[in-house]
Amino acid sequence: MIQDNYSLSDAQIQHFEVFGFLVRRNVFNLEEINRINDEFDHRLASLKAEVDPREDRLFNNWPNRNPQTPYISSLLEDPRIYIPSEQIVGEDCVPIHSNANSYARSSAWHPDTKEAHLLMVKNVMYLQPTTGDHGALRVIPGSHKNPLHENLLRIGLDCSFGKESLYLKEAGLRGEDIPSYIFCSEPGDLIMFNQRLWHAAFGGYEDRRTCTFNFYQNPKSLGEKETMRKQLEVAKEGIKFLGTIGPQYHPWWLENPDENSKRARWINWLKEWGFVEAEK
Amino acid sequence: MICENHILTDEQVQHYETFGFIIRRQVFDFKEIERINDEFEKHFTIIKEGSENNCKRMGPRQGRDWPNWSNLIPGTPYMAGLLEDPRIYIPTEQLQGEDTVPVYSNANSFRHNTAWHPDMSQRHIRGLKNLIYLQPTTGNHGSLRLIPGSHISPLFEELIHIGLRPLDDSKNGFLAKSGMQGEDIPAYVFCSQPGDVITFNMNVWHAAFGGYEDRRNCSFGFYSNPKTAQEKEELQAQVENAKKIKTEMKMDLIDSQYYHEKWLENPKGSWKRERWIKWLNEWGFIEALNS
Repeated sequence: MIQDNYSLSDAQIQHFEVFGFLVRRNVFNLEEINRINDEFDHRLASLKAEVDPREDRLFNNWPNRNPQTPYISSLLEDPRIYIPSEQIVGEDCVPIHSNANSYARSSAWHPDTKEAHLLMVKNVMYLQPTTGDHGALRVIPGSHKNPLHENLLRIGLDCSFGKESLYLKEAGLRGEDIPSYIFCSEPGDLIMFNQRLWHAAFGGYEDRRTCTFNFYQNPKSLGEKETMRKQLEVAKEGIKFLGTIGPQYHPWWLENPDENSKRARWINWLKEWGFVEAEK
Repeated sequence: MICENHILTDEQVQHYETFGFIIRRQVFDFKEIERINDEFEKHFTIIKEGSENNCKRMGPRQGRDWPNWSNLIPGTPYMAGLLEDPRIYIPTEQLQGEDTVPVYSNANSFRHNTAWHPDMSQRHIRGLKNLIYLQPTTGNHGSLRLIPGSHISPLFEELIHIGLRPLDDSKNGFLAKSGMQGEDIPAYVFCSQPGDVITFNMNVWHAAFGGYEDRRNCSFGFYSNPKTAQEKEELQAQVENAKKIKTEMKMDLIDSQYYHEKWLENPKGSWKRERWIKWLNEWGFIEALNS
C-alpha cells in the first residue's frame, strides 16, 4: 500500500476522507521500532524518577521533542509521517503535538475534538502488538462526519475527560459492545485518523505504548482562526488533565541546529500562534 | 438484552437508529435452531435433487449462484411461522411502525462470499432485514460485516460514489483501485452463534467473507407502510425489483409460488397475516413474485 515516495494514493486519500482514518502496514521496520522502544524505555524510567509516585496521574505521557529521545523527536521530519499528513491536511499544516504515551488501562469512547471547522489529524504508532482484547484501537468508521458524529454525542457515548458514558450505563453495554472497526496491529504499522473520529481501546494493560503525531490545518477563514485560538486553551487544559511531563517544544528542538527549513517554518508558526508560550 | 415480552429497550432502538442495526443474542434456543435446520435440510435436499435433474436436462442454470427459496411453503411450516413469531415481528414493528409488512421470508444456502452492498438504495421507504445464521460464524468464516452508520447520509452515498459496489466488472471500483480486499474495508464483524438474530436497516452496507459451501441463513425482510408520495413511489420501485428477483435471480421455488397458496389461505385466520396479505396484494408484490 505505501509507495516508495511515501505519497498516499488517490484511493488512500479517499479512504481517509470517507472512513475518517487510514491504516498503513509495516511503515517502520523492526530495527526502527526497537530504537523507538529503547528511547521510550529510558525516558519512561527517568520520568518515573521525576514524578511523585503518590500523585494521581491518568497515565504517563510526555512530549517527544526533547533531547532524551532524539530519534522519536525526529519522526515529525520523517517523510513517512509528514508527507501523508501534508497530503491530507495541507502542505502548510503544522505538528502541534508529538507525544509518547504509556497507558495503564483501556481508553473509553471519545473523539479527540468536536470541532468541525479545522482539520486535525493524529498519526498513531503502537509499539506493541495489539488485538481486540489486548489494547487495539477501535474506531467507528465515518464518525468524523455529521450526523453520525453528533448522534454519538447525543446518545451519550462520550467518555471524554473521565466521564461515564450514560448510553453504556442505560443500555447495559460495555464499551467493547459498540460496533466498530478493530485495528489489530503489529509494531511498525501506522494509523492516521481525523481527530473528530470516535475511538477507544479495550483490553488495556500496564505500559500500553503509543507515539502520537498530531498535525493541524493552517487556518485561513475567520472560523478556522477562531477554532485554532480555542485549541490553545484546549492544549493548556490537556496538559493539566493528562499530566503531561515536560515542555511540548523543548528549547533543544526549537534551536533547530540543522536549520531544517520545514522545522523553521513550524517553529515560526507555533510561536506566532502562541503554542510555544502556552505549552512551556 | 431482550425483554421477555420481546420489546426492545429505548437504548436498543437508539442503537438501531444510530448504527443501523441491532444484535440480539440467543433469541432462539438450540431446539428451535435444530428444527429450523431440519426443515432447511429436507427442503434443500429436494432442491438439490431437482437441480441435478434440471442440469442433466438443460445444462447448468444461469442467474443467482446460490440456492435460495421462500420459507412460506408447506414443506417448512416452522420457518413459515417465524414471521408471526413475536421475537421477529414485535421488534420489527417497534422499529418500522406497527403497520410494517413482511415482503420476504427466505432461506439461503450461500456458496461463496457476499460482496459489499446495501440491500436497498431507496432513501425514504424503510426496509429492515432480520437474519438468523444457522451455523456459528467468525470473521474468516462467513460472519456478516456491517459498516456502522452507513445507512445514513453522507456515508451511504459516499460508499456508492467511491465504487465500493462497482456497477460493472471494470477496474473503476474502490477495491480494484486501492488494491484492497473486501475484508480490508473497515467494519463491524458480527461473530454469531445459531440463535442470535441481527436486525438491520436495508440501507446499511454489509458483506460476508470466508464463505463456504452451504453457508446458511434465514432472512425476514419487512418494508414500512408508505405514507408520502415519495415513499409510495419508492415502494413501487421495490415491486419492480421483486419482479427482477423472480425472473433474473432464479429462486429455487420448484413448482411452488413465492407466497404459497397455503400461506395465502391463512388457515388459522391470523388477523396480522390477513393484513399483510391484503397489503401485499394491493401493492402488487403477490403478483410480482407469484406470477
